[in-house]
Amino acid sequence: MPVPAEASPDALDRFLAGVERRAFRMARIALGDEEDALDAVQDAMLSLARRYARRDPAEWPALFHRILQNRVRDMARRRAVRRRFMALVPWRREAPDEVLDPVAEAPDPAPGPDAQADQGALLAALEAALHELPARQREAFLLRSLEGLDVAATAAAMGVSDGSVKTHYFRAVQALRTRLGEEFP
Amino acid sequence: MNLDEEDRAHAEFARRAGALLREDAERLDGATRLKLARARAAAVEEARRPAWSWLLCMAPAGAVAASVIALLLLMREPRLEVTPFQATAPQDFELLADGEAWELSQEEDFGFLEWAAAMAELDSGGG
Repeated sequence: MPVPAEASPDALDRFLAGVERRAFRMARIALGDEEDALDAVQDAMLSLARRYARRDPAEWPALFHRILQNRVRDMARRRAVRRRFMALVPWRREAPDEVLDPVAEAPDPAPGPDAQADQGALLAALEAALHELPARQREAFLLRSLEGLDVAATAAAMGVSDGSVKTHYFRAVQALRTRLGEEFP
Repeated sequence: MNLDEEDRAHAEFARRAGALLREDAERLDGATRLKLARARAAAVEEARRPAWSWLLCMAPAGAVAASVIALLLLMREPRLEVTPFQATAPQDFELLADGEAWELSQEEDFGFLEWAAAMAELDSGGG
C-alpha cells in the first residue's frame, strides 16, 4: 500500500484506514476470537500513534505490524496460560466460546451463487489451516501474502533476519499446501 | 514436479490464498468496521496531541505521588518517646541504692522501734 510521505495525524489516519481490516483479519486468524482481535488492533493503533506518529511514515508498516504481532503473541500466550489453569480447575471447564471452531468462525458466505458458498468454505479451511500453523510461519505467510510486505519489511515486522522470513514463509506454504491440497487445488 | 514447477506452484498457491484473504478482509461486517474506525479515530486523536501533553497527564499523578511522600515523611517524624531508662526517676535510684531501709522494714524489730520512738520523745522533751 502507498505510504504517505510526511508524518501527520491525517497521514496516520490514511495509513491506519488502509491496513486496519487486513490487520484485524490477521489478528483474528491468530487468536480465533473477534473481540481479542479488535483489542489487539486497537492497542497496536494506539501504540503506533503514541510512540511513532512523528516517525517517517515509510517506517509505519513494519512498526505497526511489529507492535500488532507482539500484542497478538502476548494475548495468545496469556490465553494459553489461562486455558491450562482452567483445565486444572475441576468446577470450571473451558468455556465453549474459547474453542476455535473453524466452521463457526468462518464468515457467513453471502447468499447467492454456489461459487460464493464454495469460497466461504475454502476460506474457512484456509483460516483453520493458518490457525494451526506455528506462530512464526503464520506471521510470515500473512505479512507476505495478505499484507503484501516484502521480505525486508516482513523481517523488520517480525524482528528476525531476512533468511528466517524466507524459511518460515516457505515452510508455511508447504504446510498449507499439504493440508489444503484437496480443497485448494 | 521439478524445482521450478514446485516454486511456481508455491507462488501461485500463496497468491491465491492472499487474494482470498484480502477479499474477505474487505468484506468485514459493518459492526466490525465501525469498531475499527472508532479505534482508529482514538489513535489519530492521540497523535494530534502535542508532544508535551503527557506532562499534563502526569500532573495529577505527580500531585498524588507528592502527597503520598509527604504523608510518609510526616508519619516518620521522630516522636518524643519515653524509654524505660528515661522513665526511671532519680528517687527510684535512691530507693534501689538504699537497700538497708528495705531490710530494716522487713525485720519487724518492734523493740528497737519502740526504743527509738522513746528516745526521740526524750530528745524533744529534754531538748
